[in-house]
Amino acid sequence: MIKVENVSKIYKNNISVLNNINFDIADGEIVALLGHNGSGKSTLLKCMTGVIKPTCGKVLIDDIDIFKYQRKMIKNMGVVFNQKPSFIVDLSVKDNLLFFKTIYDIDDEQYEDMIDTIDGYIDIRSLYDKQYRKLSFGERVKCEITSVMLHKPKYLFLDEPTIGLDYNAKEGLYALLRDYNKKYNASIIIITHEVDYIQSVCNHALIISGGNITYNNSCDILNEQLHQQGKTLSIKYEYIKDNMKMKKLMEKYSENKVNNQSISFTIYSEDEKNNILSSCIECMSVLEIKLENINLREVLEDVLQENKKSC
Amino acid sequence: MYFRKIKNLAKIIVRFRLSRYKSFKVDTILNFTSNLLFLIGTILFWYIIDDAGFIVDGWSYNELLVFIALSEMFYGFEQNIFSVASVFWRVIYTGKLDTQLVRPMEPRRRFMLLNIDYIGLFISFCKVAVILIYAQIRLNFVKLIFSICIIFLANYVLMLIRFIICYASFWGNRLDSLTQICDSFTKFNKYPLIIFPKFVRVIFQTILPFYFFSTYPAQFLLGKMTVENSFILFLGLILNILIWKYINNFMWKKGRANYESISG
Repeated sequence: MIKVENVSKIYKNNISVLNNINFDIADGEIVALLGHNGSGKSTLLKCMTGVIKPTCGKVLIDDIDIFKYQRKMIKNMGVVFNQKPSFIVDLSVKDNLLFFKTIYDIDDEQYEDMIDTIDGYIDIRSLYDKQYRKLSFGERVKCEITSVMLHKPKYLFLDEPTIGLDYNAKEGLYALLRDYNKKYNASIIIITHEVDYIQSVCNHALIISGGNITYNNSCDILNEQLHQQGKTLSIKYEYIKDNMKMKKLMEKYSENKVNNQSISFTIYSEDEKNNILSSCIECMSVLEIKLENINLREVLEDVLQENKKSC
Repeated sequence: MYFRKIKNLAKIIVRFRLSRYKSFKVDTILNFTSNLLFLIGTILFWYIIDDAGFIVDGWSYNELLVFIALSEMFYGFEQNIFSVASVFWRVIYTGKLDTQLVRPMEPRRRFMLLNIDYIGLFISFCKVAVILIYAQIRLNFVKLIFSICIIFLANYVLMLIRFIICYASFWGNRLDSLTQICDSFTKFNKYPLIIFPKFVRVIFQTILPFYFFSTYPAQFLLGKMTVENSFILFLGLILNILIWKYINNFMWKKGRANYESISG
């Protein structure tokens, strides 16, 4: 279990990056850490991994202060920092992975087993004989992720792990994380801007804004919020049959957006949907009707935007 | 289990080094050539000094060759193992330390181990053997091994000093110039330090490790000091190790608490 207790971080130039952050992450949770650039996500991750010392407060992993006892705890952790390679650049991927195998003291059987598992998701063996410095950015990310999973850590911290990955690799990585979490009951903390994937991967979301946690709850509650926000009914039309009726419709349902020959409404009930549809059919020549859930990205953007304003 | 890990690590690091040599052949050849030229230059320098009659008091030319051999041993250890500590500040300054702190191998140990030049070290041992044979002085083998150990430990102390200077990067400093200061310390290895006044020698024997770079090992090996003096000076080296090890640990802890990494 990870406990973040009253963590604040003020940098030397008196810039406060984290303000009294508190939250817990239970064993086996996959947590998305979200926020705008510069909101303090990476600083929080560095505090959680014992890389930097919080100005106030502490981070406890399995009830042990991670900054004080980092070396003791590190074998239980796997950390990927965004755009910071931990590989030796002039060696091949295989040699690098063998180096990590040695320093984590992994036996041959476990090493081959994990490489086979990871290879099934992100195709790591195809990079084996390439020199690390000759890899593309996305390939380097795959290598980093492989290297932090070889020792089957209980805690995985990933700072924007999907940057540079193509669609298939991204899908593969998320599937790998899901299965790894199930198999080893590992806690996984992911900093990401890929909100479209969060619902399918994470069960807990933390939103950080201006150094404060502004959302700390399960993704299910985020989903509920999503449903409370209603659905979007989009209608494409060829021409308007009755301008007066159209005007009335627009006045009655003010939550609407009109674009070029299309109109969308935010609706909250079945009745409302039926009423709008019958009115639309009366006043316009309808070409297409679409009903969609509001995108998670939009909800998160709203949460972040509200906080930005209040800041 | 621990020894198995060390053995595996040693094996893999030697393999890395060999594959690096294969990848960077030109660099390897140039490195070997420049080292050889430097050695020839040093021997010629002392030959000319001897020929002109300016010899260090109490040291014959052949004894100076033994000193040069031990001095070469010092450079062998320094260049192939320890000098890289001078650039550890870059690891801190660029934030690369982050990725090393979250791996099981201690960052400084990893940095040193991955940069050991085994082939260079082997060549240094060969050079030392050739010069000692050329010096034509009968030497005690046990004393020779002890002298080499002293040189290794003196280098270790210098490495601790280098690291301590590098820790200034935890407070956000670039340290190119300080690195050069550290490298300049090795110049105290060019000639026997007996030419310095006594109080300077005492400092170099107790607080700074310069006397142990090659002067003390050469004096010990050539029987130029009593057993009692050798023992007292050896304690001086131990004192050096303790002082610098303590400062090193203290500064590392202070630095780590101040470390801010870099953004991103």
